[in-house]
Amino acid sequence: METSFALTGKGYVIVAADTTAARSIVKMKDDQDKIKELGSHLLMAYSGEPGDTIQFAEYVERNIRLYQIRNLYPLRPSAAASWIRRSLAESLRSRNAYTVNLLIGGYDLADHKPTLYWIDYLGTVVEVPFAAHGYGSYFALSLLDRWAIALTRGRPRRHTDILLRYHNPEATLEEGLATLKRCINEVSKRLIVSPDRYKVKVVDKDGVREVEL
Amino acid sequence: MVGKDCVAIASDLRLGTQALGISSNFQRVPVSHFSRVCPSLTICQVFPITDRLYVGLPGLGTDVTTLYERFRYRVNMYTIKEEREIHPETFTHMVSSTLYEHRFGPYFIEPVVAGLSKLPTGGLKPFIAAMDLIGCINFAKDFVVAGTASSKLYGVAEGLWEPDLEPEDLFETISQTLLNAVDRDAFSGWGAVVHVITKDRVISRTLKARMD
Amino acid sequence: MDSIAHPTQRQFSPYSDNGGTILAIAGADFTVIAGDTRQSEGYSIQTRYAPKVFPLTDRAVLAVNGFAADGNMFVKKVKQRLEWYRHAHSKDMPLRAIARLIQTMLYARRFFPFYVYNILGGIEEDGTGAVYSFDPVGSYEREACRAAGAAQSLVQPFLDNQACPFIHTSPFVVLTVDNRDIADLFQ
Repeated sequence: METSFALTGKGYVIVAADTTAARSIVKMKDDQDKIKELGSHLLMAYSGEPGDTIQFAEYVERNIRLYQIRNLYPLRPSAAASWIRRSLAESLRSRNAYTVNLLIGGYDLADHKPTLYWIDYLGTVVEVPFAAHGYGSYFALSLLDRWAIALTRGRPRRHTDILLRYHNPEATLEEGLATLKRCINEVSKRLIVSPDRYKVKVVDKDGVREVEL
Repeated sequence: MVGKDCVAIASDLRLGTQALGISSNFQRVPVSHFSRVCPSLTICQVFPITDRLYVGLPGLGTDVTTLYERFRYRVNMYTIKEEREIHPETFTHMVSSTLYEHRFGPYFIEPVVAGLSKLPTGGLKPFIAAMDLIGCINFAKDFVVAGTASSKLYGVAEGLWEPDLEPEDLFETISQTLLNAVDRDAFSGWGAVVHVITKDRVISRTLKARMD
Repeated sequence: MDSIAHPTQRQFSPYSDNGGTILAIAGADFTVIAGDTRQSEGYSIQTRYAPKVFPLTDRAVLAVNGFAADGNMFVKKVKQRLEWYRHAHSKDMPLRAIARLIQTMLYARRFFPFYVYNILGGIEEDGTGAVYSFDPVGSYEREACRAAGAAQSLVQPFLDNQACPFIHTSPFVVLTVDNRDIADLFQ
């Protein structure tokens, strides 16, 4: 089943999505890239209804590009997320709505902050430290929550807590990728229809790039 | 909730799809915020409209954002054209007619308005109102509630609220009401915010709430 | 030509909801238990005086809410079992035993349940006040306070706030407030 994750760390956002394209019970493809590079510092992972996803993602990609051509500067991640949200919200109340769920990860060159937006097909946006879509979200979100819960309860920070601290907004890229691996492993272990390959992309001050896990 | 020369508005902070919590801190707007959940994807947020006027928008997440953007646009246009701040009563009717425009395909939001309205004498009068999703206004004199925990909020508010509470007492009353109601609602909670609007300032506090 | 037998459908709806609300609060050495007395069906009021709180022993009171006919029959059966117990053991059944008896009686009807929410209040053998609440098929729990019925969603969070301030730390904390404070809640 389609699954995508994203998490923020110190100066970067990691976005990961599975690479399977399935029709019914048949796997048609296992190397599909479901993360679009919308700009030099903006990533968008998309999932949902097969036809809608590509159509909508390309629509977004072209419009974001058009903005940059017209204005000579790109939309900031927050502005891009707002525009995309509005497109989905308007589509929701049209005759045939796009059924597309998105994760927008970007690095804002104006305030030097990595930002991540969770957007669903209804047009609900929320800025979050980590996010997931699909069945994988049931496993990944609880896993990434462990850190937040340990903090809320005011648990003393011990060395062993590093093992418990699955999400850390101050983590280095290596630590962030390790956390992502934990999410992927958890999904592989517990989800019946788990994807076996993921594409992982990172955005930071130097722009977007693909990384191998 | 209405107090003596003050009003309070409060909300929880959860954003979730049914039983799955997505965010406990839906923050985008300067100063203040949001809250919680219902049929498919819901939250409620409390937004400042003017210095003495706040609106809470509990319901479907996408409509919370859409409506807030519409109200922000219409209030800005009003302020520019009229060269004065909008009154709580006027704003309430603006919200109501916006909702009624979509009578047969509504926004899934039940707004709550709280503010201090100016009297001709120059004094300030507490004002609260709530609406259903098609804009039917309830001008209450005591308190209004909305959202997935509305029946629970009614029960506690009915028991705790009394007339002419001072700002600090009103804060305690609205906080206890909200916290105890959302603790019995599976779709609400995950933090809370309270704003007490008084003559000369707005007291905004984030409450320590159960996170389970 | 209309001689073909058409399929017929029959239905049996043996339950109804008679409204009303009950609640109970446990104290250190007392329990208060209450219920309204209106009995209704839909929008019609059948009577304004049909009590749903029944004394069982000197130290146990049972409140029943839901389908009134089932409620009355259930109370009758519980009272009968308690009388048999008295004849066999020459004493009243202790509260926690009554609670377990109610569970057994409710679960015995697992597949044709009494459509009744029960709240049992009273004094335990050690002298502490206690409240037990049940679902229609016998799941039960000892608690500090409980509301059930039409206004459960309004009353329960209020009770959590006013009568069980320590609910977050202890499962069935015992109140040590003055009896009058509790009585005030019912005014």
